[in-house]
Amino acid sequence: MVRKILLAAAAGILLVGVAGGAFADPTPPPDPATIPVPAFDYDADPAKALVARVRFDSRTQAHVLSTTVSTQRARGHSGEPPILRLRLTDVDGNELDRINAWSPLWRLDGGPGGSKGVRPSGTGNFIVPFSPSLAAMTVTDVRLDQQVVTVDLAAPIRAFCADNPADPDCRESDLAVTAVEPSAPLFGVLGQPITVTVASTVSNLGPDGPSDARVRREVSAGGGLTIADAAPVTTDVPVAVGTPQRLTRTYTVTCTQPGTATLTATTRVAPKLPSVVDASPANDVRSATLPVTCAVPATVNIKPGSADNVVNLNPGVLPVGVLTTTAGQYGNPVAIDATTIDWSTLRLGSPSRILDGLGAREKHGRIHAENVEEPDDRTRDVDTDAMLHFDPLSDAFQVGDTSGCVYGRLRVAGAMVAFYGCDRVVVRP
Amino acid sequence: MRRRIMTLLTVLAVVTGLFVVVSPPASAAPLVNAKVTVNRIRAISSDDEGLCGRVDWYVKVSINGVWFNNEDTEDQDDREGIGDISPDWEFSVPNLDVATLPQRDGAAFLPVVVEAWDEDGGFCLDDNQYDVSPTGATALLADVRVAPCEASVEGEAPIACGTPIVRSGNGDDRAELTVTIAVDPPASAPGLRIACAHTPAWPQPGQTVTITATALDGSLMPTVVPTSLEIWLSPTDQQTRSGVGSFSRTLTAAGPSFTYGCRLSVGATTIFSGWRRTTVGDPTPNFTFPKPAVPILYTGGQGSRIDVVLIADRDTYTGPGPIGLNPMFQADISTVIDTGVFRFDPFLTNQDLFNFWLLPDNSGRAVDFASDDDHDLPVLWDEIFAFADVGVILHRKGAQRDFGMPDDHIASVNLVRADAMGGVRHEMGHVPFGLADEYCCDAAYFYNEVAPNVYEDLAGDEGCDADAPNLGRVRDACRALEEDGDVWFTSEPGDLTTGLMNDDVMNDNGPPNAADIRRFNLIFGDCRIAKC
Repeated sequence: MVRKILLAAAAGILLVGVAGGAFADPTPPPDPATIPVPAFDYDADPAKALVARVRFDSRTQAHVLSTTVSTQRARGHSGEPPILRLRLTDVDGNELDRINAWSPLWRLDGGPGGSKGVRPSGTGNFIVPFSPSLAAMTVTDVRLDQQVVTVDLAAPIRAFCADNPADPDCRESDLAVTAVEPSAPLFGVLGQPITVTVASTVSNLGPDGPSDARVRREVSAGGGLTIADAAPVTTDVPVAVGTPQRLTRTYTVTCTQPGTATLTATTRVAPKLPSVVDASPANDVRSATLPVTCAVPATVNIKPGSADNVVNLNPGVLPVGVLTTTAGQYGNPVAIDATTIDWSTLRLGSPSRILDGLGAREKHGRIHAENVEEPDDRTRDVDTDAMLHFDPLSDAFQVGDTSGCVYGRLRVAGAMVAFYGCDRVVVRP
Repeated sequence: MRRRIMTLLTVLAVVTGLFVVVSPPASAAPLVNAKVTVNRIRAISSDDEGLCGRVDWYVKVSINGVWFNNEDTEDQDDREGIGDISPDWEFSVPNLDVATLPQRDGAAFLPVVVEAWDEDGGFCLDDNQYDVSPTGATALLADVRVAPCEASVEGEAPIACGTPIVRSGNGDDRAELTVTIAVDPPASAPGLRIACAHTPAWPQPGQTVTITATALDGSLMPTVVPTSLEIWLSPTDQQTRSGVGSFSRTLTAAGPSFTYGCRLSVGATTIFSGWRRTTVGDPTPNFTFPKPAVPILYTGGQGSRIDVVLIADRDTYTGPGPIGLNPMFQADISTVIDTGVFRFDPFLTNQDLFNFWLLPDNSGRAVDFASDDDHDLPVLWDEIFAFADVGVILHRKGAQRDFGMPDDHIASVNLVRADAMGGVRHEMGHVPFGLADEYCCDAAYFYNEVAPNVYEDLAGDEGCDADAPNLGRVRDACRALEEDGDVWFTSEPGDLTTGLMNDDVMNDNGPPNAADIRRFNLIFGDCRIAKC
């Protein structure tokens, strides 16, 4: 504001003489000697043009024959009539300019007594001023109000800047994906979604910056996994030299088969603007694979025969049964023979402790194959189950936990796979 | 919509009035053109550089209280992102009546303000002004004495016009600004015109070049100048004649170029063709085909000029030697420039806004419009000659008519036709000025929302009837033009005298009329504010 006041005051000073001065004698004519003589400065003109050669097959159909960047200035457009309208947009589709143009179908056959010929087809050029922000040009027939063709302007800009990286309109930025780090819980249970997180790090290795990076992230899964929101995601982010950007995205993943499945996360980076040259494409994409352990759900009965499932955090032994079940029994999708459990893989604890890789180990170093009470704690079926024993004080629970779970490995269809099951508990000191 | 078009027309009327050169107000005092050229802007320091990307310079210029702003012009867009630019953006106010300017100490003065701005937007919010003044002001503030022309910046000692003024700011966002201020005689005055021509069109080293100054009246008829008629070859080399209507002087061409200009004074009225520079010899001897265009009449930066490229028809002009040096082509070029263009009042009165070029080794080919063939364009026409506002293929092929390919900004003109010079003006009326045909029927009709000469509708807000009064005509002056069942309208004169080219440039290659002149002034007005 102060500057504006000063400016106004200064401008006023310049005008003060108007009122005070007497009307002067006729001023002598300006002297050509004081008029700057034109110099041939066109060679230093940095202006460039985008030239699109377009074939019109009819008034409403056309296709692009070629596009290129000319190092000449684009002709002026002030006098162009509204026969065609050129809409120039950036990479986000935002309109940057709108200019009129003649139609390549028009021929003017000298007046008077001439005529206008509108040819059924023809080829012409559209020349527009270069801008590093340009990405596309749509050509519309004004009278028909119908779009005729869209011209990709990003490709010629990209090609020009690749050939002329030192041009003032071009930048050099070696964008790179420097890390892709997927992470998942220790295991997932068949049919129950888990959250997988993928962190991608994008860097600008210079020399120019900041440059807007267009980061595309996608994940894919091998057999045994489904990803609910696997559609690729594209994000624009400015990346300065020496200041990497870390982008994180989560995915909902569900196991569909027991065993170990593979999730692959891939991140690609490219300059958002076609005028930014990334001369090292080798580091523009990075992938990482993540093994996901898919556990079969199992039926667990903590303190078989006891309905209250009270766990006292005292030295002693906590009996836990893992039941042999058929497919569909208790909602378990896969048949389980609990006698095939590998005791050395077992953990008992609250869900959070299990997912953290903690929990109590099997205390006796073996499983006890026996017919264990069913979840109602009253009946027994005819199959042989696994009775396990854990030390409640050994890294399994804390007061307040309401669920006790067993995680381990057993044999299903000839292969050792993870299993997981839980029962209600009341933990007391 | 009606309000919009009326607003447009009103604005246009104001602008047209500002730039109209065919009938400026009569005054005993001289008329002058005031011009500010922004030579260079260089960023020195910026608060938000990096955060908001690189600087995108544009300027706001005030000349005698008339403000100009070149944001989002094509040339400004071309230079975005460059911190140190040398654009030579020109802003000019023509035909300022010196008697109406502020007077002080027996001299006329005009204030000039130049502001340097960075175009931002988006998350960077508004544009920000850079400080280009070492004092408390932010802008460059100049007090310009008209004659002898000198500029005083913020009270400092005056310096001669034409001398670059370099100022640097001291604020957080600061830049160095270089401008040149000039107060020129106008290119025309009421009832007075000046033609200034050189031959041969593209002189070679050692050739004798003849420069001719010709005084013309308001009807472009020769007139005798009692006071002085001058030919200048440099700021210190002039020859003067009195009591003549025309005279010539010669020079021996020497590379790489020479300059010249013609001035005429009648009483207190002085007009000046403006300086122009002409190439001598081949400026690019080491280039292979196709060579760049050669400027043969260059008046200034392309962002403020209409660039006309003259092209030899390869059937008409042949060797030996480069086609651009064909003697007949050279002579035809001179005819087209000196007669076709500069014996047409709207063009002559804006002669300082044209650049003329020729192609030294490249050619085109004019084709009979009765065929389905297009003209052959010069090789790489749309690439290395993309700057051309219009290319004119000159030929002498019998009965072949003129022919335009407007999307390529190409026209052909048959120099053996009696109406050839009218053809030059007519085709240039289409390209680059965007005028529609005004003859009937099946011609090139279209409606320009700003400064139209042909209308889709007779009635209504955007109809011919509504615009006729803006052109000094009665509302029912419009006549119909038919094309393939469509009916268009114009209030411009019809073919009143069949067989004579005396009605309208866009009708029978005759003189310009109100709608034509309005359109010409619109485009020339754009040129005068670096938008052409």
